[in-house]
Amino acid sequence: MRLKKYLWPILVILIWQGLYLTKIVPPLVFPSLTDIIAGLYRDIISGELIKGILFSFLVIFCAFIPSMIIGFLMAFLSYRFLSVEVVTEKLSAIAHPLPGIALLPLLIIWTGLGVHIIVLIVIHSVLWPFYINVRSGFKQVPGIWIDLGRNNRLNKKEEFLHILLPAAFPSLLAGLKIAWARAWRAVISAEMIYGTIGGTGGLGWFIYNKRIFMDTPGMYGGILLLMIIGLLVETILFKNLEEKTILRWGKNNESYRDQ
Amino acid sequence: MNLIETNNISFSYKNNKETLPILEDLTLSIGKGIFVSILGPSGCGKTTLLNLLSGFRKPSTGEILFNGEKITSPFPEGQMIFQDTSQLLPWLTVEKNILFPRYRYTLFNKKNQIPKDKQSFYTELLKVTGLTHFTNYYPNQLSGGLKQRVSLVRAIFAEPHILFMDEPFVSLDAPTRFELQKLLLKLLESGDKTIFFVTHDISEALLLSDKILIFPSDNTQDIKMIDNNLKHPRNRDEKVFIDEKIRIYSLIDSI
Repeated sequence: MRLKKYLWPILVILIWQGLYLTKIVPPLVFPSLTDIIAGLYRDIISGELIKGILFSFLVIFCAFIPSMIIGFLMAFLSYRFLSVEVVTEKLSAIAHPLPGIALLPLLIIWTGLGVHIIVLIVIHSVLWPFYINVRSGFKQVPGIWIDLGRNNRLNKKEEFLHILLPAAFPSLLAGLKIAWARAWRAVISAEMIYGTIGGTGGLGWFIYNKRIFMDTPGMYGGILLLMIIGLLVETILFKNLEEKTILRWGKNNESYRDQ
Repeated sequence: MNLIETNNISFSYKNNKETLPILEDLTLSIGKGIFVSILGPSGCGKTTLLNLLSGFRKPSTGEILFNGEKITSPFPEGQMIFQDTSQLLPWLTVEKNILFPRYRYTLFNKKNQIPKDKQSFYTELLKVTGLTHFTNYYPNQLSGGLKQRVSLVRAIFAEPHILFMDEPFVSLDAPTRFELQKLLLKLLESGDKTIFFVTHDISEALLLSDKILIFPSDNTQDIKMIDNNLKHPRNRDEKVFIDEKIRIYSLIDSI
């Protein structure tokens, strides 16, 4: 079992190195793994890569907090008030399919140049999927649980804390997962297109820069790191949270048949 | 004064200008400790009546009194037990589900506090229902029968005056259903609870109840209340039981 888990990565490494050794593809396009690792090591030591990662993380953090708050409020208010739902639904239907990058020129005209542009693009790509997930989470709360709350005279605050929130939690977590992936994607592409601001760029800018200077191993190193970070957050943060919550609760959400 | 009274209540569903009358001018008066079965074919308004009595719906005309006071919303003294086995909260363990009506539990609340004076009542309930070893399980780990047991214990632990039960055993297999019917009778031995029990199973109504409220299949006919005089312990294979069953059947299917 344990061997199987590592079989695929090892196979990929072997094929990669084998391809490199045959020299079918020029090494500039397909560098040796040792070069990639060496490049990665060099860039970590020089601090360039660490700075890039920290910058990207900071941008994501600055975008995540307001997106979570706004998205959650929008979802909750549209669950409670039909008049709000009409507006938010239309808004998300229009805005959600719009690529953040398409807003770049507009945002620059409206708000000027600066790091805030990247933050705004990340907000745009995080807000809508998060909102949609949380809202469907609230909507799918079985009536039978609300009835249980009414039967026992839960006030509005108790109903929210003891029934709505835990019942919508699986969707909230799913929304968070999607938001995280979208944020990561958005920040990298926005950095690549928008470039560096005031000398510091994020991981996206790092990868883009490496391509400009034809440092292919360094570029691969950046992409490799991108994948590793994504994987780490997925396995450490989200898997853990899921195992503690929704996996333990099981799938018991067949909705209540209203009579 | 009776525990629960309805004064000339009527109820109809309104749907695009069309009105569908369900109940008309129903007057009932039920005392403490009476087990009332609400019996009738599907779609005749049994559940609607239960929802009216428990305060989940309001009658179109007339009023319902509980202990002499008008019912305007659901009340914890009348606990509802639904037929759906998903009525337990999946994020709480069996124990926390049972304590929920009284003490509430948030998602990550680890504390379990059963007041000292309720502890023996709680352990006794678990013992009778055979749930002692399941307190730390999550609902999704339990069978349908066990889930309904937990729902039963949850409602009883809230110490209500009335239990409203909406076909609670209908989704269970026959042996489990029989077992739970027996268990219900045992739990109600003290005789201080009034029960409204919706069912479409004549045997179930005869086995459990003191009074049977019969909804005829032809809804131009009036709802009838009959007394069930069969002696406990009742046995569904006895001749008197079968005779009574045939008589009630003729009352429902009166065309």
